[in-house]
Amino acid sequence: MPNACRGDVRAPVRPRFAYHRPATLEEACRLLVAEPRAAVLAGGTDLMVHLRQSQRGKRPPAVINVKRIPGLDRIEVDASAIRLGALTTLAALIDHPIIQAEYPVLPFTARYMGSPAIRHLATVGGNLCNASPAADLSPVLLTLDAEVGIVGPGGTRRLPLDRFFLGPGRAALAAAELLAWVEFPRKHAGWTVRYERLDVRRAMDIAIVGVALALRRDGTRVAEARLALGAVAPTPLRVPGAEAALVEGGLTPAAIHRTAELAMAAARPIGDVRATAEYRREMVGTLVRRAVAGG
Amino acid sequence: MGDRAVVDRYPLELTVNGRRVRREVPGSRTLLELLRGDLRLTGTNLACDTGDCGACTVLVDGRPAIACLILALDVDGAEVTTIEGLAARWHARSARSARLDDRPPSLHPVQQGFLEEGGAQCGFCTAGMIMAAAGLLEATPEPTEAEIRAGLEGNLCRCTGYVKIIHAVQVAVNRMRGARGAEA
Repeated sequence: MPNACRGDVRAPVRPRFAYHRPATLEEACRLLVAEPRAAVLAGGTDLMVHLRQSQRGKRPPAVINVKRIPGLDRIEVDASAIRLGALTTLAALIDHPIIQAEYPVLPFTARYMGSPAIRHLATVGGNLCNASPAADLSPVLLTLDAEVGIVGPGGTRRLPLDRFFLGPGRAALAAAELLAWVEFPRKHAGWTVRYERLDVRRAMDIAIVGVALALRRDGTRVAEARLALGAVAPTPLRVPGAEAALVEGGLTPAAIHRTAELAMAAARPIGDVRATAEYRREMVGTLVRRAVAGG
Repeated sequence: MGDRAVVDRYPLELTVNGRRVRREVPGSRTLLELLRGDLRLTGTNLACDTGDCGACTVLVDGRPAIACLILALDVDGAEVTTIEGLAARWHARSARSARLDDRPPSLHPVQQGFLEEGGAQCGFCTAGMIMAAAGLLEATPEPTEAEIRAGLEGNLCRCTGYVKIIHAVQVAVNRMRGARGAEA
């Protein structure tokens, strides 16, 4: 085996940084106050890649691993709500019996993400805080009327999830604030919730377009609807106009067509290496029709 | 500028292939760099270094994990198994009555399966592929073919076309079922 280790003697590809492993949220906040440019590490499946690719000058001087903070990985279920701790792994989300029974769309969506080895690491909170426009969980949680709990030096505040995303990579976290949980009301008996995704590779890929749709039917009518789009705007996007079209028109071909048109109009896609903007917009309509047909 | 404030090294203690390991490492060192560089366990391959290919898959506390995406300090206190320790792990986890003798086997059933079915060609993905499969079989001893494919979905192979790899895992499943039968 000639030179088996040669590849490892090169200069480290990641910049050096200080490493902290706080035991409590309060300690983590204090560390962030002291070093506002520190990066928060949860599952690390995105951050580790960014650290490797980050340009000089934008490198974080410190990494704060919050993964050992006790209790933050809990899934709490009571009669009125389900709360996912920010450190809930995708694997834990997939394995939870009540979520499997009442919200199968969440395990379905999580299985799209990464691979088994990635899902043992990657966290729900990390997926949201990265604020990727293409994050798979975001549109689904938006259709479930989710709220987030944010902890900072001043205590805890709640925020509707649709106000959490500000732009690509930008979440509504102020200095020294951390996401503690995401919660949704347990009110979806009689609803169907679906996630449709367009991608190239089944594993380890991100969405070209993602569409989440939650529907409560009343006979042939639609009593309530929530529609959210992923990967077609700077943030994951609720489309209230398209939701209203379904509620007003029901599941008729005309109303479904109008819903798809409104969703396409709301999309503000970019063209990139995965797809052109025109193709993305077209596929929004296709995926919306697919989601309605399935729901 | 930032470098001045950086504390250089941090104490780390973990178990690798059943052996206690103590080191002082920089915060930025990955588990993969620790394994290959510090511990000279070069069976785990470095390929994409961005979590896309699965070649560096190891077991952390018994579950498949991507070693290039984990900081060494994040697995402080954990139990890590690499391809070098996989056969011994299988030996230790099998009931005593199922062992023909007490010598550790040289190969895990998944490794044996890869050998018999031609599951390896260039070999670059092989260690990660075997670790992912071994981790899958610890959680799911009787997987369907679809479950095997899903279990290996994060591991890229550019040679085999995957079919022989699936066969290799199926051969391992049969052999491990036989071993459990011998225990019963």
